[in-house]
Amino acid sequence: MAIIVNLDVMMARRKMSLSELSEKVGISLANLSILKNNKAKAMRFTTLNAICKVLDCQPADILAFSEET
Amino acid sequence: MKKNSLLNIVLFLCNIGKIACIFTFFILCAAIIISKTEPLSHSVMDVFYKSIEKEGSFRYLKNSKIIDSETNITPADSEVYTMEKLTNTSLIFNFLQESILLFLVFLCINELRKVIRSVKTITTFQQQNVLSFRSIGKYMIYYFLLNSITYYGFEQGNKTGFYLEFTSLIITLFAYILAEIFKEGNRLAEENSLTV
Repeated sequence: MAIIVNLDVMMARRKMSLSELSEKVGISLANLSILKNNKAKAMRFTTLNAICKVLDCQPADILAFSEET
Repeated sequence: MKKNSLLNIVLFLCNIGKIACIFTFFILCAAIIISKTEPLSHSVMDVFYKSIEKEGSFRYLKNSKIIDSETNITPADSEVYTMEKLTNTSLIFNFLQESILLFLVFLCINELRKVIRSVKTITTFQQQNVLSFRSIGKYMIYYFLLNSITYYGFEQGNKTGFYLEFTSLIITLFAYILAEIFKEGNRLAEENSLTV
């Protein structure tokens, strides 16, 4: 997919585990795992908002565009 | 009517259809055995003869008779096309044809039953249903092709031809359209489940 989710990079920077993020954001561990592994087909603004709030970052820190598909 | 009641009725009808297919097959077997062991009465032969003639009007049947070389007389239809003069090859062919047609109907009902069951368990849009509808379409094409062949062989002639039944083709078309709809539904369901 052209859109890459760099959630693991941001999590590493904030030294936060997936389960901790899941608890704070209020998303299931399974869904967060889908997002982290670039398996997600779409992302809600509410989810993006919650993740940015918890990780104290901008959407561009999590999402990136790549020419390669 | 509740959704589940309707689905239960359809499932029940599917089960009845499957049983009817099996039952019809046994009746077919019994009819073949009886026709070989006991000669049929004239009244039954007349009905059979009339049914062939009736079918001939829309079945595109081609009649062919063996003309007696000595007398050079063409025998009458009522003498040639009688049940007792039906050849074993023709009998076996028609028996196999009807059996395979029954089996195809049985398979279609089975696939439809699978789809209904998945709708009941709220797993409607899944790949299996797409495959089921495609299978139904495929079986109905086979049904159309097999049903189109008509062959009645008699000792002194035969009746051959084609019978085009478009109902099975329409069902095929609907099955393939439904398969495409379910494919799209499956894609949307997958996308929905992968939306975070």
